[in-house]
Amino acid sequence: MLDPVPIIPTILPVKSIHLSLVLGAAGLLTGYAGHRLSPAPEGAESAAGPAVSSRSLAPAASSGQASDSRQRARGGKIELPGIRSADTLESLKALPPEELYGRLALWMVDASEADVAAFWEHYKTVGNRVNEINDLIFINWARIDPQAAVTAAAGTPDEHYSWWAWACHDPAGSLAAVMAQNPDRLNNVTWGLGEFHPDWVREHWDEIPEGGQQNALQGMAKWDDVGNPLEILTFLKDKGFGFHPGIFKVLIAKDPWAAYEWMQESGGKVSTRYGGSQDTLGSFVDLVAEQHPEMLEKLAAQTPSGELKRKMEAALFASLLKNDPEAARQQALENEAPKIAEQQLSAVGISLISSDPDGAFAMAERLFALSPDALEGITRVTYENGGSGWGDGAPEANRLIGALIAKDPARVMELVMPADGQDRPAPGFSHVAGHWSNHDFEGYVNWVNEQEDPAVHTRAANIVIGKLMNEQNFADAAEWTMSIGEENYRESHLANLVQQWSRSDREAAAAWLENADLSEKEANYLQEYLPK
Amino acid sequence: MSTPSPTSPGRFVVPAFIFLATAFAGWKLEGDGSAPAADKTVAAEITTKASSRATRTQRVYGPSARAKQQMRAVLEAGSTQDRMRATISLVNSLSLDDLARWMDERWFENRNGFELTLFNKLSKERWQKEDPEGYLAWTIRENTQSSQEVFSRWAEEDPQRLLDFFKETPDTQKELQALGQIAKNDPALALARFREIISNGGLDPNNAYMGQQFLRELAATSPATLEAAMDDLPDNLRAQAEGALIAERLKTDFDGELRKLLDRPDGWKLFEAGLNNGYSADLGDKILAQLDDLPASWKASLSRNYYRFISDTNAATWLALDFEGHGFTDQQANQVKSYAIQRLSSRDPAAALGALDGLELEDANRQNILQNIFARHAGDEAKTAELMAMLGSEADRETALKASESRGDDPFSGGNSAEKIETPEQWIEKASAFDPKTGSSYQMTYLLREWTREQIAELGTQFQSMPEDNKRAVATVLTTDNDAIDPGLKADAIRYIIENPEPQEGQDEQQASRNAASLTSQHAVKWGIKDPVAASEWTSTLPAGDARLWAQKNLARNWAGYDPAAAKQWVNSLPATDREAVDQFMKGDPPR
Repeated sequence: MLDPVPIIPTILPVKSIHLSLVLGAAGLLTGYAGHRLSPAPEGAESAAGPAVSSRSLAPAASSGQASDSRQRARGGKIELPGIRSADTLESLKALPPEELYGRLALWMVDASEADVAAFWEHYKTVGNRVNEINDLIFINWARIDPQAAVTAAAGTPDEHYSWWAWACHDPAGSLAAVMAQNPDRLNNVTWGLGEFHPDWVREHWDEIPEGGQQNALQGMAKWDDVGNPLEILTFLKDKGFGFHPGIFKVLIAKDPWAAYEWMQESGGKVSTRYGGSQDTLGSFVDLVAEQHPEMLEKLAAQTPSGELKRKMEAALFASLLKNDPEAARQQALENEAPKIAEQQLSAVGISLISSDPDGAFAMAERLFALSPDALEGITRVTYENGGSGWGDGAPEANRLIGALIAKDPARVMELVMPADGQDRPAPGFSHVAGHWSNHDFEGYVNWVNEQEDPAVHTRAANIVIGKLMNEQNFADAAEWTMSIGEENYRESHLANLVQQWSRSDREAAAAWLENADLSEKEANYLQEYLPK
Repeated sequence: MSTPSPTSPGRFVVPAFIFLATAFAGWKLEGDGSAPAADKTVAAEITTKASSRATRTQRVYGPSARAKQQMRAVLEAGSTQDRMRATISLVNSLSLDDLARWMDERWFENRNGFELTLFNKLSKERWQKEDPEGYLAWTIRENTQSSQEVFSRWAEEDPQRLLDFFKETPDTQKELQALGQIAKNDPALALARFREIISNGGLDPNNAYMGQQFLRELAATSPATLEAAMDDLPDNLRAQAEGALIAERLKTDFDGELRKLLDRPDGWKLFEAGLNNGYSADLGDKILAQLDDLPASWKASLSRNYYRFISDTNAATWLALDFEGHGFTDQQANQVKSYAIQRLSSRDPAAALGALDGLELEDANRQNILQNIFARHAGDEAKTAELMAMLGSEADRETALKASESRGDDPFSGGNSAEKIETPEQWIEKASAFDPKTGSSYQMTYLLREWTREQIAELGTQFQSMPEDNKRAVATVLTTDNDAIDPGLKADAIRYIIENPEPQEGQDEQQASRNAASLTSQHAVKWGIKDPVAASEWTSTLPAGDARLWAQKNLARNWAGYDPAAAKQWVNSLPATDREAVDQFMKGDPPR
């Protein structure tokens, strides 16, 4: 009964007490351990289950010979050592939960049906049972005698394990059995079929009763490790299960070209099970950038202008920034495509915030020089006497500016002050001021009070007023509004102020209006905004 | 029309073939120069699916030769139990580096049977035990549940180790999540790291929620730590922190905290911040008990935020309230009562209808409430009949009847009467009869998001061959501003509308011209962001005129923002008059 192939030592934490044994075993391991980085085994007799710690070493020790504990290659073939458990039913029962799975798995390999049943008798009474242990028990029970496993669990809350496990070992037989004996458990069988025999499911799809087909797909999608990801991915999509990102990732790892073709054929998006669609194009680029960057570079060079190319180039730039920051910085500064440069400058700037704040400021300076309204993130359309715009709000550029504001807000403001010969601040002024006022309102207010240029003061005060009104601090907002020298702005703010204030507290708004230092014309005009 | 349709199947195949063929050729030219880490010497000639003529030299990805041998050893081990034994052996025999590769690149390729499950479980256990940091990094990359478990354990046992891990493996979103766990045991450490993240610009719109969540957890587990740090936080985060602290205090002493807030000029805002940070238990009942103490400004705010305070269970109490006696204006009272009626209608629709009669509402508002009440109970014929009998006017009965019959419009069911449209024929039929006054073109076109390319191509073909009488109605639906519409299909519809303008005069004519320019320009730019080549080809199929020229100008400017060289090349290919106009436009309003 004993397997002649010697055991493979388990990789265990080295304890000083076993040092001599470690040294002895290390010599024996030299032949195969070149590629192993793990510590050497604790001792020749310590090869037990895969998760055996030194504490539980003794009862789990297997019969085996350490001298042969390695993979042997003969004629290009590798032989894996045949290992055996030295555990007993009793030693398993005594194990702490975190050590049980590996030890039990090995013990189960040679256990008899009676052994499995006996362990189940024990385990089913354990509090906080773990699904994976339940699975292991029934998988092995069904391997030996599926009908006995089903009978043992019949009518109990654990019944589903037995049917699911039967499917693992006998696809056609389990399907026939469940339909004959207990059709209510069809879903458990078909889940098992999908999980353990996806190819069988594909070949016998029409033989699976419709009521169980969805669960077969669920089982099929449980793991992304599949030998034929392309076929499974396509099958799931065709059967309406939707896109499976994990299997797509596996396909990219194994055959990125096939993944590329699949993505192209699906039009860059695939419906998901939960409605909506998955951007397979984005997934493809991200994963290829991670797994096969050399492929991405070539693909990007050959891809026509457009979204796919941009995504590829963005992924390449992220990689460049990580691996060669100086080259990335140069590329960002020299990029002649404003929208791409904005993203690159922002990314480089953010990467420099803590290590080289001056470098980060230089990126922001270039950003505003290139695109004065870079913080708006708007795509504009214009035509005769009209236009519109939409956008994502330039999250990266705003993130850079937000971070720089935390470092030195006044220095950032300098970047958007009126240029020589200009009578008003740059388009990014309000955004930058907004960042500062959100970060440190008091500091911002002090800065505003120092501004002597009326155009700057008015636009800076706009932000203060907006923030105070948002906080429903209407009295202070009124005081600031009255400080605005540019008449048009003041009137517009006052109307808005009175309207909002009166919605919140009409009496207070009316009282202010009564006592405010307003011209008669202004007072009459504002009365219209005070509800009767 | 003789113009080739952008939705024809050939539109997809030809460019795809050309691109794939050139891509493969380029790949082949590159040869084996940069072979992968796995097997550097092996290459295989594989015929592509796109064309049997196009071939490529494929670098071999996937398992290494040795891994394949090891896998073969498992498969050839013999019986099921021997394969399980071999699987266990395999896990034990791999170096940790190899094991990580097996897991990461999914080299255990046998899916038939239990061995894969066994391999994965044992490998994870071993990896986690022998290289916890490496395993955690992998689980984060894989986005598995087990990374949460590790966070929790390390946060409790060795929080510094968790922070060190993130220094090596940066992931701000996950780190913020982990800080919440650390805060439970070492709030000072968590807060110090949080401040570091802020000063390095680590908080951005993508992870702002996680930052807020951290402050909430800190407020719950160690309010004193957070309070002591308030002055050093940026204003926006200080406001969030204050909201989180208020939420905690409202939980323990609602009345006391409310009184403190009433004394502050920004009290309502802070109260709202507390509500936004998770305080909601019995809120409506508690505020009802405090109504007399609320100043006018709070009552105004409360009536604007009625939905926070009215629930199915307290709706009747709100309806019975003496609003005037409590100092609410009529308008505020109506706002609150309208919503209370709707909430009451789920439990007691008859009482809700009764209350509606006592309310002075604008007719549209009244009909809207009626519609919601009846739509909510559509399908229950007895209940509908009982409620119908309570209605006193013909207009009310008509509204109720419509709501009862159209379950798809039930705002509470999330139903969608348009869902039955599954084929191009059905869609065209529905769109032909589309009435913007009663239907939603967005909903109609949203359906198309899940259609296959073949279905979209068929829809395009059917649209092209439609009789003229209904074609404009269908084209109008297809020009809805909805990304679910295939851009080629939308392009066809827009071209039809531009080619077949409705006769207009005077100002209407000018408006129609602006609308046409807006339609073509917006589509050219939106499509151009994804596929500028296709968009540019489409503009040249439009009839000459303002709509085409504005589309070209806008496309050129936006394309140049992303790819100036390609945009320039296209502009240079335009007929001389168009090219000059586009160049002029670009000079006057350059891309940025």
